[in-house]
Amino acid sequence: MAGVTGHLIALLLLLPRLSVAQEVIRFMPQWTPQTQFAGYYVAMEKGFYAEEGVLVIMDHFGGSSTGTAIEKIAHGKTDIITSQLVSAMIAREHGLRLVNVLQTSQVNGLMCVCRRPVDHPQALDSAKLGRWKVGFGEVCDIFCLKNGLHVDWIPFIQGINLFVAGAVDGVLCYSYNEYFQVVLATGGIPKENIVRFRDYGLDYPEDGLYVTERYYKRHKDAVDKFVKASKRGWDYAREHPDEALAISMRVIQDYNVVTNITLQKMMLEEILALQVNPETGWADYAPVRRPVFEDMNASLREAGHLTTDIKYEDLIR
Amino acid sequence: MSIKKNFSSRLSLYVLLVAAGVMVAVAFLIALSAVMRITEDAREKAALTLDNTILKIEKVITEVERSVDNLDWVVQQHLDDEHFLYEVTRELVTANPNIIGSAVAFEPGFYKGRRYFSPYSYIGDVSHELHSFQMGNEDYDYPVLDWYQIPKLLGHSYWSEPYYDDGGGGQRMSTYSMPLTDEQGNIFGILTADISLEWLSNLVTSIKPYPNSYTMMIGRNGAYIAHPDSTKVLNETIFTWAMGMTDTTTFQIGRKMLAGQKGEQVFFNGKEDAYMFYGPLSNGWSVAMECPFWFVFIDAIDMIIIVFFMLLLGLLALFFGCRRIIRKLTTPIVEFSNSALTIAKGNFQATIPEVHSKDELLTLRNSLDYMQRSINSYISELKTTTASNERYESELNIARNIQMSMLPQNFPKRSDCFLHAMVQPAKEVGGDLYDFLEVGNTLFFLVGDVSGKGVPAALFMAITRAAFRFIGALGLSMSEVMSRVNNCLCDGNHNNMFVTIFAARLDLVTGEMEYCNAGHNPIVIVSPEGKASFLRAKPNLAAGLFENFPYEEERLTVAHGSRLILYTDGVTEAERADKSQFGEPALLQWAESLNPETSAEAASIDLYSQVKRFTDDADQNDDITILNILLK
Repeated sequence: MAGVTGHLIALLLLLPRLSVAQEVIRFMPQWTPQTQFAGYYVAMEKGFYAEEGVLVIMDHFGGSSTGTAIEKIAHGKTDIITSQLVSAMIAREHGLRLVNVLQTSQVNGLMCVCRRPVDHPQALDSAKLGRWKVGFGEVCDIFCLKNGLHVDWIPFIQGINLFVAGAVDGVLCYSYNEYFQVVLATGGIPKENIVRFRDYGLDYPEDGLYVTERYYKRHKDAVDKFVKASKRGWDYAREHPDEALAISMRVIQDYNVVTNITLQKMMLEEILALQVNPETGWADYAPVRRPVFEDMNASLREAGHLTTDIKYEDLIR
Repeated sequence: MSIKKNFSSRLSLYVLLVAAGVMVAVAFLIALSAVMRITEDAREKAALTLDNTILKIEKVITEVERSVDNLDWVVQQHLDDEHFLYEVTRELVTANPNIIGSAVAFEPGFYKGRRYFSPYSYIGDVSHELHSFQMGNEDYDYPVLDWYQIPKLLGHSYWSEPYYDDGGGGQRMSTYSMPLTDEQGNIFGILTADISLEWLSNLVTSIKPYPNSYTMMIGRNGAYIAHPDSTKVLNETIFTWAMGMTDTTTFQIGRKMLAGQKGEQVFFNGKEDAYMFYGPLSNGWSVAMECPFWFVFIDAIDMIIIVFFMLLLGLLALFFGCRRIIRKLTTPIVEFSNSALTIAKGNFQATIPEVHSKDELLTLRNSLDYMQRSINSYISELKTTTASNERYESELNIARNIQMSMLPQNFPKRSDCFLHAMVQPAKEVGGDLYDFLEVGNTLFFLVGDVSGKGVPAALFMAITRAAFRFIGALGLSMSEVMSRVNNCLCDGNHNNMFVTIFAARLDLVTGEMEYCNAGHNPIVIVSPEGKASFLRAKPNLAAGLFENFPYEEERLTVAHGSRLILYTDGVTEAERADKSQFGEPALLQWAESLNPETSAEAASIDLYSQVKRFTDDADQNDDITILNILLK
């Protein structure tokens, strides 16, 4: 009798452990730590992932020497990544069957900051422009193609110094990151020196969460939990931007990233602004609209980044 | 002694205040001039310190640049000797203490089949040992790194912005990169030298010319290369600092520094105004030195403290010196004051101190002496006058008594007639008179008023009274009596004095009254029924004016129970302070209000009381005489 009782007590003690068993998810944002990923840091810090029942192990893209997030997920080194929609589509072209499980960005933030005023696209013809060595410039390729521009692309890891030193005529920037770096390096850039590609019909949504089809099929429940907790993280960051900034700065400092709180604050504000759906007026994490997706397909094929159309249903979940 | 009671202290204080005002103003102007000069000196000193700092850095930069530039031809000569290229980088590091690493990086494909070839030597941050390796690979794609790509694109040497090198030295550094070009001018590689930011930061931040001042250095991208707060180095730019400031001047400072300008700017640093001195380096970097605005006073503080204490000591010396001098000067004044006080207390023979100077004090002493003698003379005169006045007053009292004794005080004691009279002179003696004489059942009575007042009037009254006493007793008619009295008074009346008189003879049995009026006020008759009226007698002329004036007499039968009220104009013309007079109507009103049973004496006293009440204690301006007869 005593033995049966002891087993029952042991079973009762074990039940809670079984009920809260967490699935481990490896997560990699596509760039070095910054408030571009504040929602995920908040979800980690506030325990939203744990509350949803997933144990998230975050590892950051560490620059050119460590490989991109897409390369990491392609080699099975991570489970979930953040990526731009364009990059994910091109990755599928190359056989990496990614699926979009959350679209955070609703507005395109790519821009080109130039040394001279650019009153029309042809002003960039034959210009020497800096772009990231690791990618992110496909939208600009489409822009150049649509406008018949021939640009001398200069690859860089960090392009601000190229621009400040006068080694290039212009440099690609994201409105939430490099643009502010340029502002903080120069004291300000005239508006007429800035080309925002979304103003030229290329308002393609950017960041989202991606997993491989295979992982998604096997761990759909865990992915859904991760997505749900990530949304909560972003919502919390939107409601408590100062706290989100503080949390992000702790992560940034852990990685010894060269940055400052002024830049990160501006970045967070811009990222949150880019998450607002222009059609609804609020951050609703709406998946990319099919017409936009099809336009991206056509443009990327025209620019040579895709050879076949990516099916909307294959990528968007 | 309170300073308020001490003239010398008070005067000293006034002098001190004036002197302090002047001295403070002068000291302020001197200090202002000195501060301006010292400010300029301090600014020059700060600017000079900055220039010296820039020179120190420039020296290092130049040495590094020269070391690299000098190796250009060496590299060009040994491109086919890989080991020598390593040796070049090792030599550069070991020969120049400022260089912690050096690389010869070649364009991808410069050496056939090799995308990356970059011999690199560096001194370990911890071990301080020299290491060499080929640092280019897939993970360290140097052709896209700033230190390689920017000088290649620019086509000239370039100092990279500070960075943390994770492929080479493993520390914060900046790299001087010199393009290697072939005979056609094509760039085929970059020769570099790394300098540590640690010693550069230490060099710059150690420059602190004033407390709370600091020196910093920024690169062409505004990022801090050196800053007292090491967490800002590489992480923040001068514009992140500017964005945290309320003073937008800070942006101007940043832009001017990035523009390679040299200058200074006053701005508000969040706590206080401050100077920012800035100047460029030849490689595009800029050094700046912030000094709190008050730093200019540091050198002046000692001088200001000394001036302040000297000013304070000078003022104290001036105060006590002035007080001592003023006390010495004012001692005679104190003695004069004591003498004056002694005189004031009654000692008019008090000694007045001698003064040997011939200034205002002598004048004061003479004035005091004159005052003393004048007082003594006045006192002497006053004593004489007082004695004379006392004698005069005594004589006047005697005269008053004599005059009063002339007027009969024993009034008739009859059952058919009651008489009472009173005189109240305005001065010690007066010119009013009354008289009565009882002969059987006949009552002779009169009331008179001599012109003027005082002794002359009293003497004239005495003459008048004597004349009536003598002539009235002769049994003549009232007109004859009055005529004779008039002639008597006119005799020898060189002063043209006169007297108004109402005289009458009353038969107390029949009530027949014979009377004569010599310019006197009409008498009041109160009938038995209580009705009062004035007896409008012929006025004739006052006695004493014209000799042999024909006075007329008149007759009247006075009913028994009637009351006769004689008076002088001192009653009807009694004045209040506002010059209003008692008047005849008030007299008649009073007379009618009398109770028929009121005695003659009570009626006289009551009328006098009414007059005094009317005048409300105003000074009596004329003699008052009242004669009251109640015929039963």
